Amino acid sequence: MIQLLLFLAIWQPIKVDKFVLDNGLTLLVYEDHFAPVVSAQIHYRVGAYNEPKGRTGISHLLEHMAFKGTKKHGPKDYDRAIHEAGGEENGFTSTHVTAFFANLHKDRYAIELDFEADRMANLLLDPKEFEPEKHVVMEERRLNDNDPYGAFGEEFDLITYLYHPYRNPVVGFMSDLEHITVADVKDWYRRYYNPSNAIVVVAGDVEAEAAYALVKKLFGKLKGSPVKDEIFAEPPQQGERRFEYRKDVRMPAVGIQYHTVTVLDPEAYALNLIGTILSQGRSSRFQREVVREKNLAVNIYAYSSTAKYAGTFYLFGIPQAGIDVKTLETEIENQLDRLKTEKVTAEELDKAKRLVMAQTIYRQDSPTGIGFTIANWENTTGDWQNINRFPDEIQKVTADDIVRVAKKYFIKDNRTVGYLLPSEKSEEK
Amino acid sequence: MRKPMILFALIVLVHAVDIRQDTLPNGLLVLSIEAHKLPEIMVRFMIPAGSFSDPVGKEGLANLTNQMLIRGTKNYSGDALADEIESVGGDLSPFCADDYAGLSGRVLTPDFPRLVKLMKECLFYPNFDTLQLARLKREVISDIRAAGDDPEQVGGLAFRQIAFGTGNSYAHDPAGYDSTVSTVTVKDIRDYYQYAYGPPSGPQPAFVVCVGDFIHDSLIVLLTREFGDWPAKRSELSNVFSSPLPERPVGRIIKRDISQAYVFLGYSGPRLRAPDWNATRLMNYILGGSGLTSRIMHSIREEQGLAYDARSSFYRFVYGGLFVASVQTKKEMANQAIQSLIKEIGRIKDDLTADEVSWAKKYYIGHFPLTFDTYGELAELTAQIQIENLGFDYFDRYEKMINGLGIDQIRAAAQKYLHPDSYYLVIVGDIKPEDIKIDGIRWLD
Repeated sequence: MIQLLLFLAIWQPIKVDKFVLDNGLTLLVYEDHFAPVVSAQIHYRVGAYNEPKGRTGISHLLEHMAFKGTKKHGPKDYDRAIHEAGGEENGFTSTHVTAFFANLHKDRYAIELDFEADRMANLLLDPKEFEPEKHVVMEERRLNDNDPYGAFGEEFDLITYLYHPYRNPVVGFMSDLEHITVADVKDWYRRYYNPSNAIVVVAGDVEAEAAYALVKKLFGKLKGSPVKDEIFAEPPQQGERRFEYRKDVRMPAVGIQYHTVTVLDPEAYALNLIGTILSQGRSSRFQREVVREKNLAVNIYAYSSTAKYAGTFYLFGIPQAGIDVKTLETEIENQLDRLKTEKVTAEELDKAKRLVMAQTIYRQDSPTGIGFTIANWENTTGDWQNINRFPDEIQKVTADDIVRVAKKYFIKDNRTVGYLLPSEKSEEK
Repeated sequence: MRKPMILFALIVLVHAVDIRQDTLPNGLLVLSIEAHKLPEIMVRFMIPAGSFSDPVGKEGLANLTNQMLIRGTKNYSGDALADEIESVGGDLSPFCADDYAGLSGRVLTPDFPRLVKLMKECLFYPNFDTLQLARLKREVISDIRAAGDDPEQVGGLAFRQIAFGTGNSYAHDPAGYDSTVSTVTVKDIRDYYQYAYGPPSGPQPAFVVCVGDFIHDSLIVLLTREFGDWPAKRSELSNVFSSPLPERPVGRIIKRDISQAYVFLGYSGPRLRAPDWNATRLMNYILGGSGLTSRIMHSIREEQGLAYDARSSFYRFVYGGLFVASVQTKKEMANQAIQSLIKEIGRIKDDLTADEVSWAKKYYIGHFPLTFDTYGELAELTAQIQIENLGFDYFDRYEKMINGLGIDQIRAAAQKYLHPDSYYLVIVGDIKPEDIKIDGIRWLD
């Protein structure tokens, strides 16, 4: 407890200046004057969640096409301009976001925002560029398929969510990629890429008012067109689901996934701490007992993933040589049962809280990382300031809460169990 | 119509970094940077006890020794050590790479004395318990087998074996092989620890890097008290030898039932401290080191749509190095992708433009501040400056150094280090030798 009080004494809330332009664009500015560097980011509120059947992967495909030129700039101009300015640039797509960013010297971050304003309004989406880029994305799809653990994780979401779009793979299904046309991508672009669906983040060695003036100048004239998420609800799971997934692997694996809660649900904090107690650090239960004492797993983790509209608690383990997946599954179940029947000690709970909250400080080391974090809170919860409520909410969790939440969610009918096993061909080898 | 790009004047962009150097009575060098942005401190002990000094037949020994540092000491069990550091939200981890091994730690400011005390406990008083070693070996062997399921790791390891040559100290991964890890005994570990762990007086000194929220003078008092009497050691090389180019292309295929072919093509390359490294890295930026803007990526991804990623890289160690060009592509397109890699490696030797060189120089100068904008990156760069013997006026000299490079030096680096006619080629995937059309290639079993 003393350690926790000490932490609360040195923890400072994250400071962000938020602006909303008339066209609906949200700007978040995080000032960090440690180094003369700025991370300029734009996060569109669109991702795999929004994709209908037959169009999975279209947000990610559009992310690729955003580097292929606008009416003003040729396909190579953007990368060249950023590199000549000494910057590093990239984009990424996930369930609820398609983002682009560049990290640059503080005198040059306007270059990135200038290009982003242009890409928001003027993407060319040239059919000549589209086909080769689609093949690049199909290679990315194959890369995922050849990563046995990644492919296994994708299969998990397909079976955990039978209806909800959280089942969609971000990179898309191969057959959808084959059929998506440049006209589809243009429709997607028109619908989702506008100021009211975007969050701009400027993090680093900047003054908030100067960043606001720049963003207003570059984006202020663009027309906003609000987009609302369609809401889907997964029907409650009514019994355990089990599957086998076979690949050319030598080391099998087991996964277990439970449905849980959304990001702002009060029980999300207890689930977060359960994940920490089980698997964060060498002193965690999984590392200490399952890996070192019992020699049952080579790699094992538990992770609470609470998202905008639903959540899961995922446990994954690779058995040590000579241990079968069933034995490891039983051990994981026993560990979860223990959470339901034995209260965690005050020391163990305090340690977990301390680990979780120390991460909130360490994360502030990187302007890029803190930029992603505040954008994510703004996007998924509607208010970046929820990040500052997080330590208080974590602090409130009691040992009784851990037992209650474990009993509520870690039940057989609410779970999917998967085994990653060698394919028959690889077994013959 | 494309709009002309704005051209920047090459102005001084570097902010001052004050790296303090102190030498403790036993020769241990302390490199420290005070930074008060966040209430945290990072510490990294860098000891030349990496896997290059593994004896033949005991590959993985350096890594096991390093991992055993936190598995129990005179005063703490492994579990107690983990509890001590994690109960304050901190981290204390061993690491073992090819040249250096050591401990890295991070804590919030008030807990810094605790971190230092635990680091001393691990470095001075490991107990190398037999049971703990048996458990660790099982974990490491399982990890090695799990890596065998990742075609990228399988190919990378096979490539370094073939390119460095059997028996070379850099030919194996720091983890070692399951067959050699299983033979390591507690005596091996104790002997290796006695030999390697301490501040040596040899060509590669041990040193400590500290970055964060401390006061310099207090830091030196603390480290002198805890580490000033650490007995000095001397480490020597084991089996480092030069790895000549093959007389003609040599290939190896590792069969895997996957839809893509993972390709690795290259040979031994320049080591750390190579005098022409800056020219070489600018050359590689143009060739395949700059992501989407590189020639290799442009040809293979942008023009032909063959791959998501294609690149060229130089991996440098203290006593050796590697050049490797790599791509993952649909297995039917493997030959085409390999031909493209070879073509680009050959083309840059004679065809290099002033525009490309100017662009690369602007990138390296403008990007420099981004390489040390976090505590972690600052610690990394400080360690790199020390290991490469670059001098701590590096920050002041950097821009002039890059600007001073001429196209002839960059072309010379390409001439010296790129060999489109003699290389090693490793392919992981469902590929047959006859799928690959390379004149005179010798395939290994």
